[in-house]
Amino acid sequence: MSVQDRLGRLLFIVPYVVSRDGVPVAELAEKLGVTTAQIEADLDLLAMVGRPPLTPDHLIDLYVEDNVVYVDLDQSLSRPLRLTHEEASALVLGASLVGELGGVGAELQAVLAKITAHLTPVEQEMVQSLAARVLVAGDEPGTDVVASTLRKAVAAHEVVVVDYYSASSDRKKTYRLEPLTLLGHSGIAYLLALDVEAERREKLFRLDRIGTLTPTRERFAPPPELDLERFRTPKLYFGQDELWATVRFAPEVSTLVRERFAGDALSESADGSLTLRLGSSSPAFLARWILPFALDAEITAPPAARTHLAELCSEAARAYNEPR
Amino acid sequence: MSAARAERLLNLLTLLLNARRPVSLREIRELDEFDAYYTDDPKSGERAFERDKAALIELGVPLRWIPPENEDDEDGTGGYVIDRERYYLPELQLEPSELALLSLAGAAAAGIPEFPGRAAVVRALAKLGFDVDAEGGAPTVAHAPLHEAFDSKKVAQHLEVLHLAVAHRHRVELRYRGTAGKTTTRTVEPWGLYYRQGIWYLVGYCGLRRAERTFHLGRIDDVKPVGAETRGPDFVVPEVFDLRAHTERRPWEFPTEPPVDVTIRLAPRLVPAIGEIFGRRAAVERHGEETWVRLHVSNQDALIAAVLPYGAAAEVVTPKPLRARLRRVYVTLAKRYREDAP
Repeated sequence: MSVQDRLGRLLFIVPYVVSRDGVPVAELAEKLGVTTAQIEADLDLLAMVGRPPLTPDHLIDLYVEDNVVYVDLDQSLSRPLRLTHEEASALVLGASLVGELGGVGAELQAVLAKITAHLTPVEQEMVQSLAARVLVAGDEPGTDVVASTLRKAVAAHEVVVVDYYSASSDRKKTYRLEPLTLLGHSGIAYLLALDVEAERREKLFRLDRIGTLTPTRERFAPPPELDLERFRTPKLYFGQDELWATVRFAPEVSTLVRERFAGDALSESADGSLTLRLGSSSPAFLARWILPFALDAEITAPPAARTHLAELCSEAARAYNEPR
Repeated sequence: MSAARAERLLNLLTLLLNARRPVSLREIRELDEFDAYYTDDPKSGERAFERDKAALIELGVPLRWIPPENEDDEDGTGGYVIDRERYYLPELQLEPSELALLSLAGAAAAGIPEFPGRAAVVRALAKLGFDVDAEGGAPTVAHAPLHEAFDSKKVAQHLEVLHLAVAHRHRVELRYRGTAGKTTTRTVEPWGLYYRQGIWYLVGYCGLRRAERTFHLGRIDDVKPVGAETRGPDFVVPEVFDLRAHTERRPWEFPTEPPVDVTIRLAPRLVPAIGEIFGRRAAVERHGEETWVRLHVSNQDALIAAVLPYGAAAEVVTPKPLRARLRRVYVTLAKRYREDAP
């Protein structure tokens, strides 16, 4: 825990409690993203400090009753310390994690500009300078017509028709969708929507696989509640692993294989080659993961997966044999 | 930070915040609460004070020294003040909906333990919500986890060191493991950091290769600052360096060989996925029923890896040598997969 973190928290607790006439310890812990034990340690410390010399009337008068914190004498800590450039920079980077999401990013930038206007010119320059040096890769602002059109459709509860490349079936499909929200995961933007022609089943669509998008002017009633926190997971995948394959990798690519397939069942042979047991929803997905390794990977089982790869590669070989 | 030091810093801050005139170091030393500044060796006590003062200023407290006003000044040494106008958080007049948007950024940051400045984001949101409560929930969710292949605790520690190094433009020494498994030690000028699909990367000037390099943080075994902590910048980031453009680079755009123009014929079913497969900067042309993608490629191995999964649906038309390479790979793989499994 750094000086900034602890002091920053201490300097927030007193004015926050003063302004709200008593605050539960649990609320302080949640607000500041720490445990109640940490808040209790902070409160013990705050009760010992104040305006030196520390006579009784110079101490911060802070006490806890029934797990609710009260402050009767704040010793001029009546409002928090102003926003620091470190906090502003962290907020700017947090905002970049959100991405553009059809205009949400631009709105966030407008709010951030309102906030950073209160920094000194030197601090503003520091924030802008660091913002240019620590980034999250994502959409380029203002260029994604699909995302902004979808966001409008979400807000209007308007059914849309999309042409979409389905990676699991390696086909282009047309969907009629009730768009619920745009969300971001690992820097990729997704549409969460109900598939009208599949019993309004909930599905996720990557925005960078959407071709044409047509609003229909038809309205739908969205679900009353939408839990989005369930997407705060390490991986965003809700499909079934219907196909289990065994793949052998050459020793030369072992570092990359261990990185890409961490968490999957990997075993190493005496010659340094790796064998992976990999689940996927379809042969097309299997091809996407394995073919980039070219001749350094081979699916050894099941036969159906080998047949799929044989057909894909044979078709490609015929195409490449044609003169162009 | 020890509790004793935290107490001393808070006492110093509250003393100066409540003072109606500058307070000299002599006066501060006379108070029992600051016996850490009253040492047998006066210089030692002064250094302790300077460190505490620096910590408060680093925190953002507007603490400064006022020179002696006039000849009647008792000590003739001046004193310290905290500018009350600049100390307190101003009323920002944020709308509840604006706070909800900011909480989206905060939740995205707080959702990943290794995010640099995570505690600062939480504090920022707490301050910004001081005068107003967010209305309703955040409009959506954004999550940016670290790829599970990597030790997130180690990456977090390295991120913290690198974040500071990037901010202050200080050189670092990296022990780095390449994809072939070989480890090297190198001094790097860290120009920028970025996150892309679960992985953090450092871009900078590599003293070993004497060129710009991108480092995958999951492959950094160790990183440490070079030189003293308190000093000015070690280097200047080249003006032509654009981190945003760098983050949008596709693997085949990393300069490992002389660039060539590549034309790819795309099957209709892949057209919606041009953004995913080739990125927004790919040049797309329609020729009758056909869609062509044109790329500028300086790493042909990376392009081969990108198009292989799509077979004939993403067919490299030119240049001929690259087309020939892909033909050989597909012919070999087709033969391999037609035979019985080993």
